[in-house]
Amino acid sequence: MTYSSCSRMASVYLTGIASMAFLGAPTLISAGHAETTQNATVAAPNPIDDFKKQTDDVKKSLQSVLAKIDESAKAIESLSQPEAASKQIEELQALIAQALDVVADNGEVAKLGAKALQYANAKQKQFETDTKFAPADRAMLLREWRRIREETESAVADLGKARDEFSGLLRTVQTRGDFITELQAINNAQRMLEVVRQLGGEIRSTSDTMKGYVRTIVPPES
Amino acid sequence: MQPGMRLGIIAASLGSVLAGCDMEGDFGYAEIRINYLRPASDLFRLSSLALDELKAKNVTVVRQAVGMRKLELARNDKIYPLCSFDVQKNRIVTVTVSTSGGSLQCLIQ
Repeated sequence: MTYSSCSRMASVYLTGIASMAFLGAPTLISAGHAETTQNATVAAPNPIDDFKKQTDDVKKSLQSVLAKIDESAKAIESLSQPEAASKQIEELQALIAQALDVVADNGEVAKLGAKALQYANAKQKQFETDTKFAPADRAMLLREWRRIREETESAVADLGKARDEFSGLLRTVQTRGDFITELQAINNAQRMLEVVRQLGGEIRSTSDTMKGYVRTIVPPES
Repeated sequence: MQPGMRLGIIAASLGSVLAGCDMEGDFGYAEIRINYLRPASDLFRLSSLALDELKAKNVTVVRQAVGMRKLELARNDKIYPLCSFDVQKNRIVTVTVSTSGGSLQCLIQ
């Protein structure tokens, strides 16, 4: 698998994240507001709204990181010197790590996703047992919360797929980097061997010269 | 408030922000894979971080500061150390927990 194809695969999942545009979010927000108005209580914090904002930010930052990953991957493929490739791979690793950072399980987005899902589940349960609203209103609210829960679940699943892709990509790149490091070690050992051979040849030649010189020395009393 | 005092507070705040940046340090990733049929009561911890994701899934990827990390199992109010591994800068280490001869073992890759 080439570096470019790896980054392209990741970008497919990122497009998935990017498409987490929460088509239902405006409805959700208006439903949330409607509920606040009807209940005339203090507006509860809406983690789904926060999650949407966060995923929008994620989308922007990942798109820029992905463009850099793609650039870096293409540059590596054009490099023939292991030293240069090794340095470029290090940079690529840093970029992928930056992308993985955004979608890691202990990252802010994942935590917010879990909170949003919990909130949507709680709202769905609330309207399943609600007795305050008219049946038609309750059915509408329940239907909306079911849809929002499903969309949130799907957005959280997309984050998971991106996480899998980036961790796989990072593993591939680091393994290739390690392989290049091993190749460099072989190159270095080969160079060292050549130096030792050359040194050996020079020593032999010096030794032969010395032997020849010694043979020319005539002992004084012979 | 005196202008000098205000400047001092700003400088101190800026200093603490910059110090915070310095303290951020390097990070890598740990992927923990659970590869055995486990009771729901089995919980995992990575150097005191509860791996909550593993309650519902068998894989989690977490960002960690570089250095040695310890994977532990919490079972029936007891903590069992499983293994230690090194997290390196911008790298991912995969730890697979499975059973072998009735006991749990880690495969670190």
